[in-house]
Amino acid sequence: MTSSTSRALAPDELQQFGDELDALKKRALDDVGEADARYIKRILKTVRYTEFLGRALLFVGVFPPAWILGTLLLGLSKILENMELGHNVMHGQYDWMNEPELNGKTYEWDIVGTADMWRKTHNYEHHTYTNIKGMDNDIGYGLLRLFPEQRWRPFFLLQPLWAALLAVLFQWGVAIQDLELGKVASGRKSKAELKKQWQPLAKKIRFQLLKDYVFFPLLAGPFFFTVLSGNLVANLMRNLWTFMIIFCGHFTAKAEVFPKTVVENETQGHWYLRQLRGSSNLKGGKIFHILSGNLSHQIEHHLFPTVPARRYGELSREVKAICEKYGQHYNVGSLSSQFGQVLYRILRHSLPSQPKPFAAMTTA
Amino acid sequence: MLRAHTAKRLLQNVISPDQYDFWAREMGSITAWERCFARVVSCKEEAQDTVSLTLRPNGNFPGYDAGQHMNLSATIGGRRITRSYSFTSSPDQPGLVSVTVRRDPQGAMSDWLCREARPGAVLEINGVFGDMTLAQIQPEPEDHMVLLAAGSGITPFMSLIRARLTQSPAAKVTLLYWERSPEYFCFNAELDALTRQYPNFVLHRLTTQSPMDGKSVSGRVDAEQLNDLLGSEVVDKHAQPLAFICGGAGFVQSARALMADRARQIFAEAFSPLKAAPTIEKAETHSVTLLHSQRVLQVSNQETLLDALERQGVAVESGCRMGICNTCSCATAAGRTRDITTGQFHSGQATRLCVSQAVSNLQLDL
Repeated sequence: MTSSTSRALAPDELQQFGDELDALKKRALDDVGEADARYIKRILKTVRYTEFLGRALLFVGVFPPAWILGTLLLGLSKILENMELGHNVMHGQYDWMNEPELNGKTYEWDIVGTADMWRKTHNYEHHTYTNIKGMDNDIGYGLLRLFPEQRWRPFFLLQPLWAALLAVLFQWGVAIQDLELGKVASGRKSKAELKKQWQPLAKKIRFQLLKDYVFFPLLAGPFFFTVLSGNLVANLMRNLWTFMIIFCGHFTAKAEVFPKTVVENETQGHWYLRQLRGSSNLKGGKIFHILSGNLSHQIEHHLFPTVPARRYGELSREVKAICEKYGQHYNVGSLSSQFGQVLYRILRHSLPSQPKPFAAMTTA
Repeated sequence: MLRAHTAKRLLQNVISPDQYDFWAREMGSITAWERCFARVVSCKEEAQDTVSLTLRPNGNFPGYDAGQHMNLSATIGGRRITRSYSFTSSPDQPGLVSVTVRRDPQGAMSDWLCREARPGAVLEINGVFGDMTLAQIQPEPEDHMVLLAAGSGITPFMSLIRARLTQSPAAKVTLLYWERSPEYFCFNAELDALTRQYPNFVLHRLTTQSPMDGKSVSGRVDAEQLNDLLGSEVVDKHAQPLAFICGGAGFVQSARALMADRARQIFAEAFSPLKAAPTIEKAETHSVTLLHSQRVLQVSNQETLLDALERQGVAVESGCRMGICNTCSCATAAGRTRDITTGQFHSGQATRLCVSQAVSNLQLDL
């Protein structure tokens, strides 16, 4: 779907647009310091304490209020850990602190997928080639057709069901994304390669499953099943929440996809413009932004993935002003409106649809 | 021991090392899974602008030999900073280690350690290093050791002298110790006690700027001074002493040249403060040491480190090549780099090679 509300930029305008964003990024990074360190340590502390309280309450989960509260706290802890802590730390936003437990290269998160795979599929592939069809596997996760530019197959007729399954099992979708099972099935990827990737993943899956579904339930003795069910529901909560936030980031009505040719001689300004046009923001309060890992500021995150995410809200005002100056649509809406648009895409493109020509980003 | 190991393995199924360390700290303990934290137990003003800190490391401390130093980390302004300090304590003193720090107003770490570190503060020890130890050097009991220290160069010698005199009480040890003025001399009581206890230990305190009581300013190290203090007669090479030199780079360089004909062997360590960062306008070549593969390469400051390394056939994991995906980020153990996207200078932290240029010689964790 092309955007009619953003205008194509002349090469010199594109250069200035990029320079302004570069300057903004430099200003933000120059200011990074103690306040950011305090913030992320407070987040880490909240993650640890909510997990502890959640698990402790689940041990006495035979009392329904304790089970409900325990499950909510554990789910909250997992959401906060995956989003505001893990995701942002793995982008290297806090590497300047030199704190081993907050190091982007070595951080490991509370989810079945390995941090190493994520660093490749997300940090590198998704962030460099955002919304480029055929290069950014996040477009539908190889399972959904969200843009008319994706070729239609009868498989997609049932995609409302596939989408629901992906949402419920989102952590598994993320975990196996890089295995590219479709390629293995069609013979474009060797079994040996798959096996090599599978080994570290299997180890991580085993650790996660044993932790949530064997060891902690066993520690509860006779309350094995109350703990197990609480852990299961907490993981489910996290899956649904992260699915929703992430899908709102790139698949709203005005989010654009791009052909592979855009990366040829792509300038910094052009790269910024592509990030802007492929991303969309969510409105909300402070807690909402934190629980989304500040991915509710998806545009700012895509422009400045290495800037600590707590600064995106502040940066968004300036980014919006720059967008207005250069006649670019700034895609922001409420969660219900943006997620509604995502659901519409899932339904609409389960049926055949015709792509419009790719929107021109530059006048040259 | 075996039981502790089994307990750790079982615990690892439900809790990560970071979580273990976190909860230990929340409960007021510095116990850790594998990291070596150390708590400051006392601070003593050693001399002008100089503080001695006594630390109690946790059970993961590897131990040390006299003459060695450690990498000590402290979190200052949200950033964990690491610097090397010599042990000034005796290795046989169980459970406690001490360091003596001279404040450099430009040095974030020394300034913090001298002014902010209080009993209860927690630091981290990241490894123990150094070859200037008796076990490495293996001096004969009759060997004469001549030690030349300038300023904080005295620190590794304190433990070394004590260890030598304990091992070989009759061994001849001479310490020449320079400071700019009398109020800077460290370890006065201890050194004086050693001279009383060991007649074979000779100590000369020398000043370079203001005079000591009843003595004139000796000035910086020179041949005439050494003739006065160590004698001017020519001695056969094999009968010459072993020389140990420690201090700033300039001192070490001059002392080394002056001792070349007077010592059978010279062991030297230079402490040099970081020079002010130059801007990268002039093309320069710096050497980059890759710590894992032990390769040394020459790189220009006009290209990114990633380009330079790849051009010379070093396989570096990389991704976006524009400073966003963090794949090529690697720890810089020494030296300064400049981020070309921000113009910021960095030292001693993770560096995204694809957008960084060398500003000085570097050591990379590759």
